[in-house]
Amino acid sequence: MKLDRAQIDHVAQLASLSLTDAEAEKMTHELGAILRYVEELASIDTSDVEPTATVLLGPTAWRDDVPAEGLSRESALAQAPRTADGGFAVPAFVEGT
Amino acid sequence: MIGTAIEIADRVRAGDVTAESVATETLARIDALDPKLHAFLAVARDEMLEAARAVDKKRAAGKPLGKLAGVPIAVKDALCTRGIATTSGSKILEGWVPPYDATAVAKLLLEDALVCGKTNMDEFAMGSSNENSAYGPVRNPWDTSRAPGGSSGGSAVAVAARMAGAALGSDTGGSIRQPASLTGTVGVKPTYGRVSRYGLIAFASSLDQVGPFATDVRGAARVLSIISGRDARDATSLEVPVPDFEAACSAGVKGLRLGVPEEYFAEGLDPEVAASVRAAIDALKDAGCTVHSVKLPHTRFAVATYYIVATAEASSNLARFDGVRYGVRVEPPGSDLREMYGRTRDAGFGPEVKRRILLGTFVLSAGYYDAYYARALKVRTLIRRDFDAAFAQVDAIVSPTAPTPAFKLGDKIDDPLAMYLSDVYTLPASLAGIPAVSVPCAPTRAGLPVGIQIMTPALEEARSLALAAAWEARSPARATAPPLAL
Repeated sequence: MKLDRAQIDHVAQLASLSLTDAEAEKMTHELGAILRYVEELASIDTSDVEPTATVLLGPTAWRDDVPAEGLSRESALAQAPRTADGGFAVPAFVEGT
Repeated sequence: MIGTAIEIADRVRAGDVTAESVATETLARIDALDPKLHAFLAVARDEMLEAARAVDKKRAAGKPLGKLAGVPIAVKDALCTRGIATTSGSKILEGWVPPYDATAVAKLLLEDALVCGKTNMDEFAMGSSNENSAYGPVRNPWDTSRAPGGSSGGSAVAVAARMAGAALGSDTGGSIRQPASLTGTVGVKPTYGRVSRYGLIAFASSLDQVGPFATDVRGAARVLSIISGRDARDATSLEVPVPDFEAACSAGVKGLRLGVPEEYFAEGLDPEVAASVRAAIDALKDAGCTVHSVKLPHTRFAVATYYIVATAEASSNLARFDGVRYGVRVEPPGSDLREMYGRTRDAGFGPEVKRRILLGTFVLSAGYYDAYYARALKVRTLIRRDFDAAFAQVDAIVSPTAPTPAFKLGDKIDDPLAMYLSDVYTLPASLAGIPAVSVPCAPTRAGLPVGIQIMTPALEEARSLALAAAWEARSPARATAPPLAL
C-alpha cells in the first residue's frame, strides 16, 4: 500500500513521537517500502489457519500470591527525572474534550 | 590470551591462578583492545576486581567455588546489572543505574563469575550490524572495517577478542546467532521459555530469549545450564527439568538424522558460506549422522512475518519510555504532559527504533490490524508447522546462520530492508520458539568467520549442543582467535 504523510503523522501521534518535518518525510518513504515488502503475506491463503500469539509450551505458570518485599519507595524514586511529595512529578495536564 | 571459560574456572578452582589475576589480565586486554573495537559501553573495573578478591577469599577460606569461578563474563547492555549503568544502547536510558540484577546475571554471580562490563548493542536490540547503537558501532576483530553483526555484537566481539571468557546476549530474531556467525564464536538461542527474562529490557516479548556466547561449545553449554530454569519472576519461564548441557556435549551423534532445508541454500546465499557449511555437514556425516533433504516452504515469508510481529510488540513494550520514572526527560518550560512524552521520545530514540515503533503502531492500528498483524500471526503458525513436519522426519536441521560473512560498516545502514534480510536464516527458529546454536565452520578465503546453525525441536538444546560439539572437534575454525586478539 501507499503511505501518505497524514498517516505517518497519525501513527506518530498514537505512538507519542514528536517527529520533525524531515523525520516524518523520511519515515513516510521508508515505511512505505517496508509495507510493500510485507504485503507478500497477502499471497498466502490463511483462511483456515489459527493465529500463533505465543510459542510458549503450555500455560504460563502461577506463583503463590504472597506478600514479598519489592523496591523501596526511595530506590524506585532515586532515578526519576523529577519527584514531588514522594511520587513522580509530571507537567500539568488536562484531558482535552 | 585468556583461555576458555572452562579452562579459567578449572585453573581458579585448582588454585593455579587467582581470580584477581584473571581480572587484572582481562582489564588489561580490554584497555589494549577495546579502543579499536568498542565492544563495551561500560567496563565494571572496580566491581570486577572486588568480586575477584571475594572469590579468592572464599577459596582461601576453604569454601567450594562455583562453576564459573573467576570467569570474566561480558553482559549485553539490555540486561539489568545492579549498580552498573544499563542503557540498552539507547540515549533514552543514558546514565540509568538499575536497582536490581537480571535473573540470568544473578545466577552467574552465584557461580562466582566476574561481570567485566556491559556490551554495546543495537539500540533496544533492533539491528543486525550494531550500527544502530546510540553510542557508535562495534567493530569486527577479524576486520575492523566490518560489522560484527547484531544486535548482540558487543557480546560477540568481547568473546571473539578474548576480552571475556563468555558473554550473555539476547536473541529476538537472530541477535545471538548472527553475530556469533560473523565473529567466529559459539552462540546459543535457547527454547522460548528456557531462560528467565526478568531484568531483560523487553523488545518483542513473544520472541525474546537470553542466551550465551563462548569461544567453545562446552563453555556456552556450561553457561546455558546455569542460566536455565523456572524463575517465579518471569511467568513465561518454563517449569521443566534442566539437562546437564555440558555433559550433552560428549554425547554421541551417530545415527542422528540431519535435515538440510533447500530453502536455506537458495538465492542470496554467498557461495563461500554455502561451501563452508556443506563441508561441515559432510563432516557430521563422517561422524555417523545421516543427511536428508527437508522442506520449510514458508521460509521466504519469515522476514515479513517477523517485522510485523516484532515491531507490533516493540511498539507496546517501548511505550514505557516516557520520561516519567527513569531515564532522560525533555520538558520544555510550559509544556504539558503529552508534549513532554513526545519530545522525550523524539530526543531519546534513534531512527531505527522510531521506524519500528511507527511500523508496529501502524500494523496494530484500526483498519490495518487484520491485514497486517492478524495475518502475520497466522503465517507464524504456518512457519511453525513447517518445522513440525520436518522434525517428524529428522532430528535436527542444519543451515547457514547468516547468508554472508561480515559486511562492511555502512554497507546496509541506509537500506533497512537489506539489513532485515541478513536475518533470513535465523528468524524462522525465533518465530517457532525452537532452540538453535551457531558454531564456527571454515572461514572464507579472506579469513572471515562463517557459522553453521543447528536447529532442534523445542527443549532439545542438548541434541543441538552434541552436534555442535561433534562438528567443533572436526572444525578447522576450532579455537581460532582473530590475529588482532592474539
